[in-house]
Amino acid sequence: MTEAGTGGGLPASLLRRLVEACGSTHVISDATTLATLRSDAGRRPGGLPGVAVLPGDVDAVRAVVRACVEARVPWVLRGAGTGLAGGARPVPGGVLIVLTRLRRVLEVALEDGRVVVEAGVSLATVASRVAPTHVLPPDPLSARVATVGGAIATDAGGPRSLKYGTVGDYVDGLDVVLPDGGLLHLRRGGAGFDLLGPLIGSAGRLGIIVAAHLRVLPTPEVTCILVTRWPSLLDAARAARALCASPVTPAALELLDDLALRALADAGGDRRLATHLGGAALVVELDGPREDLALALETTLEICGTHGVLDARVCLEPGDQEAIWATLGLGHVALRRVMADFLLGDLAVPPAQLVPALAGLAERASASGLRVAQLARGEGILHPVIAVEGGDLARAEALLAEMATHCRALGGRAGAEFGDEPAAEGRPGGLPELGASFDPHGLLGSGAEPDSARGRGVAPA
Amino acid sequence: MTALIAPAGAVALAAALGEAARERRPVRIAGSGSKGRWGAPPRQERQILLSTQRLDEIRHHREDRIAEVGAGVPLGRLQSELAQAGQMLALDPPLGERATVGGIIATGDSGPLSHRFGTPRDLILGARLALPDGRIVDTGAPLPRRGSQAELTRLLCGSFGLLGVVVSVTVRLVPLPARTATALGLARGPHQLAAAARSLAAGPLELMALDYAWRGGRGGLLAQTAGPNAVMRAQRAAAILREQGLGGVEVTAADNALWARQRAGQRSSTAVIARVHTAPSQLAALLGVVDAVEATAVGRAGTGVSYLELDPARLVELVRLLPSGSAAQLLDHPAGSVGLPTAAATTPSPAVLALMRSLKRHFDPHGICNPGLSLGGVPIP
Repeated sequence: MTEAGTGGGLPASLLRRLVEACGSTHVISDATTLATLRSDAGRRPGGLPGVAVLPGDVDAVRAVVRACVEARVPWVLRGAGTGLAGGARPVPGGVLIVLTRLRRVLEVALEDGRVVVEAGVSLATVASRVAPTHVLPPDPLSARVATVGGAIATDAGGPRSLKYGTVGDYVDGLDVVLPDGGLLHLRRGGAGFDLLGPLIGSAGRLGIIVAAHLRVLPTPEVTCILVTRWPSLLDAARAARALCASPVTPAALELLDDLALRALADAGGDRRLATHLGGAALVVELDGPREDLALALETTLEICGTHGVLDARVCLEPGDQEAIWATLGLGHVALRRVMADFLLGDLAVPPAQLVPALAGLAERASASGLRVAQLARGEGILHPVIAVEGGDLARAEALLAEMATHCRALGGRAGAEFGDEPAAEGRPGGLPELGASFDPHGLLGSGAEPDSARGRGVAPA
Repeated sequence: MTALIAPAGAVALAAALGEAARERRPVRIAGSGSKGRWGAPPRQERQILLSTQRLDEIRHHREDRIAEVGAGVPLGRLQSELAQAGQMLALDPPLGERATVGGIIATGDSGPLSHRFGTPRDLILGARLALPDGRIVDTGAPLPRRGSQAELTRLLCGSFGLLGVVVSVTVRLVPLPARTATALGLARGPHQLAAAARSLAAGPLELMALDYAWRGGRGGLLAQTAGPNAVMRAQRAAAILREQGLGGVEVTAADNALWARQRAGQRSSTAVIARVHTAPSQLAALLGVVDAVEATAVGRAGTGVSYLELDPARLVELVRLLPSGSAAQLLDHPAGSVGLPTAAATTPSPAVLALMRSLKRHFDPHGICNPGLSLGGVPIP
């Protein structure tokens, strides 16, 4: 709908070509709708895009890209918008390419442990197409809506990354539209450089992933969830660390503090986990062949015992397990009930620093006087949820900044790594050589201002 | 005239590289020499031989299950150090005693454990890289999950030192299994072996490795399990092999020699080695091709990666006969045999090749890093 006076000042010829490529109903230029596309799940908005387009197939993506190149207008990619890293934040006045209409499942070849899907297919769709014999294990909690393309572009992890790594570890092939509109079919095992490597986690800086070949694994023979309760979050964290130091490799270790548990209880979460009992919870998922699982369960219970566990429940029924994961997945929605507005942090520390990191976050939270719910993973991922009280976003942001500083001092990093964080010495935010090789015109954005993370450095020879 | 240098750290190395670039002197990067013939390196005038030997530091963060490892550290030394803390790097390429970690990363080499743990690009979390213009770049971070710039980290794996010199890498570790066991059986035909491999790969046994060996119309399948219950699980694997009609099925806990033989099959001193990626469902077809070109093959039955040892004269035929969707590249070849046909590899499309060349040009504008090397049979000038 390219009405007069809209389109963010983009050339009429560009808008015309975008409509030709995507169809008029899939070119969004009204400011109200565009405003909803300014941020991902990470809360901080990017600029207002001039226009958002939803190409329906690979050719349309290529046509959009060619039109942008010719008009010299930068673009940013967006999947379902579930990321926390700011990768989908638009360049002001640029084009936002939303890939959720690329949702065809192209091939399910379970005898090869492979599925081929378009980038806009949700991880949940992949999971349901390969079930019950196979799984795509990294499984972010946002998997219900998160798209395959977005998960690869951010190399997304999830609760099961502890054992199974990130989504990028399961990519065996990609179809990629380059910033000049060219289409590459990249497969693992070909001669020459591994070009899949740079595209995984590139946040859309190098090319547009339009389809992916994903490796899936046989479903574990037995899966077991242990819901354990602890006097405090730090007790739970110490037990989580002890588990990681043992020969047991849990599939998932999820930590929740009292406030988070209360919010989940209020939201009607599963009673085994979500209660007003106080203290903290550690959810341990174990999976594997049956002989090993019995042993792992025994070791886990023993370690919990020596670390002062208050209560431990074993859930073996798939239905119960689903209820627990659904409850964990409620996280942010549930917290909305106890905090009208909040800021969600995305921090990481080396696993060995989990306990001091959580302790430091709690200290800073209580010094600030703001309510903070703590969600964390045993591998050192921290998602503090900071209440925005009385509309004072700056206060919450200041606290999050303090928390980020604390994590960096422990050797960790803060999220929003695709734009927010100033490049530290020796760690430039994306090597210019890489960008220049893929994107000689420098038009692919990544939620960052076009000039901050790119465009510096060596000009093409 | 070849000059030999062995810088002891990133700063010295980067300085040496920067100087070589200014003087336009080609730099040949050398680890232990265990893969010295790969890529058919041509002799260069005024060449500098850069040894990574003194980049030998190991920083093991046991609790984080990661290690920062100098490029010149032999994998064998790393593994014995990690083993004392009950951990390992899940990479087991051939000649692992002396092959350096930097060389394994740069060539993307791997062994039977890649069935479960993948190849270097799946285990690397970060790297310190010296660029040909003298800069030092850190990619990724010593955290268990990759962050921004992981892009470059993975690109280094299998880049053969064409983009710069890897100074050190950060890698993910796994617990060292208390014990292992292997089930093995003999197949009389390609379809029997492939069917058995399929049912093991689709099973829930969490195998450490699932390998085959093949020659002259017959071969064997090996499935390794690990952990306190390794033998029990290997027996379940053996039952599957029997169900599928394999002969001579047995389980052994003394399986080191079996796997060493599999690794050895990935090298040759007299013939060429082609690495072939096929869909696992095409394994039977591939074995037919192996017989047709009179090759000997070992490989990962679950992931579809095979190593074919064959007469160089049969390479072109091999590429022609491969099942569709397969990719082949040339690894090892006999000393002195240079100038093998590029048709010996599945060449990338012109667009992909152009992008590879663009990367080389941007990272190494003067072309000093390992010039003339061909990547798996594909020259990247």
